[in-house]
This record gives sequence, C-alpha cells and structure tokens, in this order.
Amino acid sequence: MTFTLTLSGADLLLLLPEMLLTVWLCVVLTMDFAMPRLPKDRLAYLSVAGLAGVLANLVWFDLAGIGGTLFAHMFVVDRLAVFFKIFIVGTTILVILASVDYVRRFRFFKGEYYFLVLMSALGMMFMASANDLLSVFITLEFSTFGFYVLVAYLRDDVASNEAGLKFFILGVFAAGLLAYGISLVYGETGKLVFSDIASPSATPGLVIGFLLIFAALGFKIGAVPFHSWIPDTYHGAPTPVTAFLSIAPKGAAFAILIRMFFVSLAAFKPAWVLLLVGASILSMTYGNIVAIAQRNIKRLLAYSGIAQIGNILIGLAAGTKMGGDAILFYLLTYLFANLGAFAIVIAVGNLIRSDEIEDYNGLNRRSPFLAFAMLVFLLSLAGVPPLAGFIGKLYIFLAAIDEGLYTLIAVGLINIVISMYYYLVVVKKMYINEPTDPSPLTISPPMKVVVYAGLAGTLFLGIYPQPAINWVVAATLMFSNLAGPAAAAPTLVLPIGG
Amino acid sequence: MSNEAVPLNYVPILVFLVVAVGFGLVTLLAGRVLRPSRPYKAKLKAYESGSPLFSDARLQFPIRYYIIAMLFVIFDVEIVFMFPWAVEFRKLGLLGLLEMGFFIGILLVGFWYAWKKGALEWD
Repeated sequence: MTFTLTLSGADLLLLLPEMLLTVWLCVVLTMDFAMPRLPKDRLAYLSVAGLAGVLANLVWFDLAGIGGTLFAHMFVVDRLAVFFKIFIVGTTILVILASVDYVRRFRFFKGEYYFLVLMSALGMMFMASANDLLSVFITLEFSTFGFYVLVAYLRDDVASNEAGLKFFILGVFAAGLLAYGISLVYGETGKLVFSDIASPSATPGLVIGFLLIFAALGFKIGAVPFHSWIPDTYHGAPTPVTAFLSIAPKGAAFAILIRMFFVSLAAFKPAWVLLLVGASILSMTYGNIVAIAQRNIKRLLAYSGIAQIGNILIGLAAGTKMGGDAILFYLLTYLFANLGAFAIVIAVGNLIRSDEIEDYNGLNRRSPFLAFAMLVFLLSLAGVPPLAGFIGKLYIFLAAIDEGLYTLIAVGLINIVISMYYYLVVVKKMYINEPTDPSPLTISPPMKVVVYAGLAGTLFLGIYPQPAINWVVAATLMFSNLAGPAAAAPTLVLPIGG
Repeated sequence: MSNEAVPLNYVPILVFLVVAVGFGLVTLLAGRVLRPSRPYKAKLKAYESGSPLFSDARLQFPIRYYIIAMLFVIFDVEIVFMFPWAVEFRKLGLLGLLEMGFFIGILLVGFWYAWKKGALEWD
C-alpha cells in the first residue's frame, strides 16, 4: 500500500478544532505548573474558555458544511463527526463547570485534573472522526488513557482505586479484543477504511472479527454482557468523572458504531439486527431490574445508564437513517438529563458528603430548587412528557416500528414502566420523607449554571424539539440511501446462529 | 489472494506451529526417557549451584527508576518518529518542518512539566 502524503493549508483546516484544543490543553497544563499560585478555579474557567472557542469553531464547520477526509481517509470530517464533536465538547464544558467545587476536595494534582479531562475530550473528538479501523483503535485508546487516571483520582479512597483498577484491567482486555478483531477483519479483506470494507462474502474470520470489534465497543458503551465494570467504576470514581464517563465516551463510541454498522456492514443487516436486538433487550432489562435494588444514587444512575444504552441500541438495531437520527437525538436528551442528574448528585455530595439515596430524604425541604431539578431530570430519564426523554424514546420507537421490531418495542415499553418505579422512589424520598437534618442547602454559581443548562436542554428538547430534529436529520444525510423495510440488499445466509 | 477454503498463505505458520510444539515435546520426552532418575533436595532450589537465597525479590525499590525509564521511553519513541521525517526531509518541506516543530513542542511541554514537578531530581 502506498500513501501519498500531501497536506495543504485547506486540509489542515479540517483539523483546526483538534489543533486548537491541543494547544489549549498545553496552555492549561503549563499555566498549572508554571504559575503554582494561580487558584485552580481559574484553570477550570480557562479550560471552559478554550472549549468554547473549539465549540464555536465546530458550529462554524456545521453551518458552513465544511468536510472532507485526511490522512488516506483515516480521519473524516462530515456532519456526523461534527455533531458528535459538538456533543463531546458541550459535555466537557458542563462537566468542567460541575467539577469546580469537587476539585477542591482533591489533595493532589488539582490542576492536572482539568488537563486530563481536556485530553480525554480531545481523544473522543478524534474518535468521532475515526474513519478506519486503525484510527478507531488509536483514538479509542487515546481517549481511555485519560479516564484510567481520572477514575482513580481519589488516591486515598479505596473505592476509587478499586474502580480504577477494574476499569483499567477490563479496558485493556477490551483493547486486546479490539486489536484482535481488527487484525482478523484486515486479514480477510485487506482493507481498513470503513467504506472499503463492505465485503460481499461473510467469511468466518470476518464475522468473528466484527463480533470482537463489537464486543470492544460494547465494553465502551457498557452494553450487557460487557457491562461488568460499570457499577463499581461509576460508584468509586469521583462523581464529576462518573458524569463525564457516563455520557461523552458513549457518544464517541456510537459515532464509531454507526459508521461500522451503517457503512461497512450495511449488506449484512439481517444478521446484525438480531445481535443488536439481543444486546438491547439484555441491557434494558438487566439495567432496569438491578437498578431497583440500589441504595446508592451513583450505582442507581449507573444501572439506569446501562438501561439507557439499551434504549439507544434500539435505534442502531433499526439500522435505517431514521434509526441514526433517533440515536443522535436520544443522546442529546440523555446528555442533558443524565448530566443534570449527576450535577445534583455532585452538588448534594459536596454538601453532605454522601451519595446514599437515604440521605436524599426530604431534599425538597432543604433545597426546593435541587429537588425540583432532580425531579425533572429523573422524569426525563424515565421518558415522561413533556420532557426531552419522552421525545427521545418516541423517536427511537418510531424508528423501530418502521422496521417491524415489535418484540423490541414491547420489551422497551415494559422497561419504561420498570424504570419509572426506581426513579419515582428517589422522587418520593425527596418530596415525602422527612429529612434527618433539615438545614438548608445552597449551591455554588458554576454548579447552578450546569443545573440550569440541564433544565433548559431537557425542557427545550421536550417542548420544542424541531430545531434539534432538523439538526440530527441533517447530520445523518449520508445514510439516506440506507433502505427502509424492503431492503434492497440481497438476503444472505450467514454462518452465525442469529 | 486465493479464495480457497484453506488459505494457502498461512500454511507455513501452521507448519511453524507444529514444529515449535513438536520440538518442545520431543526434547522433554527424550530427556525423560534417556536420563537417569536421581532426585535429591538440592535439585529443588532455585539456583542449584549459586549462592543461597536470602530475601524475597518483591521488595520496595525507589520509584524514580520508573520515572526516568518512562521519560527515556518517551524520547526514544520521539526519535522513531523523527527518522522517517529526516529521511524524507526535502520532500516534506516547510510544512513537514512545522509539523515536527509542533510535535516536539508538545513533547517539550510534557518534559517541562516533568522537570518542574521534580521528576529529574535524584533526592
């Protein structure tokens, strides 16, 4: 294989958001160690300023429709990539704002925290642009390295260390699966770029290879049966890191999953639909049932996150352009509701130093604002109208109905009812139970910004979803040739049982 | 590439595997059959004819060795990236030079960080 490496200024323009962030994270790191007297809060606001610049740059790309590929098609900038980058950068901004109070509790490396968050965000931005299997591997590893450190950031806390170790060992194992899968796919096809791989024959090596890659990405998104790291890691990690981990990498991994299933494997849809339906049913059911038994709010949100991923997989199983739209829209609603809920957990945790659901008793008396915000976020996660989660679930079910996945929809609806129970248990504790300590709680300005952003997003997407729908529909235009129910693809007999 | 059920290109690997496994098995079996069996206690020691063991190998040692080794690896890998660039230096031109500057700049920030944090101080 020969590459002709020609880069011009116009090509480098495609890399501008990543280059900006690279320079900026170097600036943040340098400011931290070169000016040790600088209050660490300033670093947070400095990071947010840089991310806002990157965000503006991405919005410009989106509006001007700037796109193309770089480095022998390894790196692609299209509407889909830009959507996911905006998603990731937006999440990062909110997470950093939500971290400001929490970071004061760290005894070591307060400044490096922001650097590591920015570095993970950079890795995930590259993930959103990964267009061949090699760049998938490199960018996935790049984005995970920062998280390995961040999860174990509370050095004196046994739970945090355990969380880091579990995440690291299982993450390395998943990376091994990914590399093995990539080598099999490359061995069978001799190609790495997603659009080149679309192979006409499903050889056993190709099937096993893609199954391994799916397993590695399934680990990343925490779909059952690759979810075992989620509860302990989410529980032990510092809460802002948990919030970050529960949203941004999911978006980045779905960017890769969408490209893989919709571009490379479009011809094999009858086979992978069953795989995804299975993963989706297992994730929803397992996540929701186990969540009922949780006493810790972080673990509850961890299991609810597994169930939410099951919901998003419905859109992937639909395998149509509308399914892709629904995934993107659902991720947006999940971003605002889940990040909002975690922001409340961070705020309450900072004030009362506890994440037990028991300690949310009578939160309404102590801070009506926090209790109301939590109510909105939990109801949105459960899918109650008129909140964002309702539209997200509706969208994803509609995409599935078009494809006739009725079993999946039935299971999804039953799961909504189950999830309603444990979300409402928290609501009941906040509103009806008596507080043990009725002293009022107040939250800091940056935290308020995050909670207001979550509320605004959740209400706006729920009441007036049209602009966001237009946006996600435009982001997936390249998949409009994916056929609907009467698929033009030939029916294939595949050597896998499912 | 052949489209047969058995990929012929991989046959040498199979042969190699068989030879590798067979070599180990034959050597061990031949030794077992040929050698006289005379077990005694000294044979079970880790170093049969060396000095006796005096402590556990899993002891604490200064972590700075680790840091120095890490820093070394980073700059070692940097050289790996610089070689191809140096070979194609003329062809890559000014843009190549700028990109290498960017790359080294990022590494230098990391090095400066390590320096400031005292990673290079021996005491």
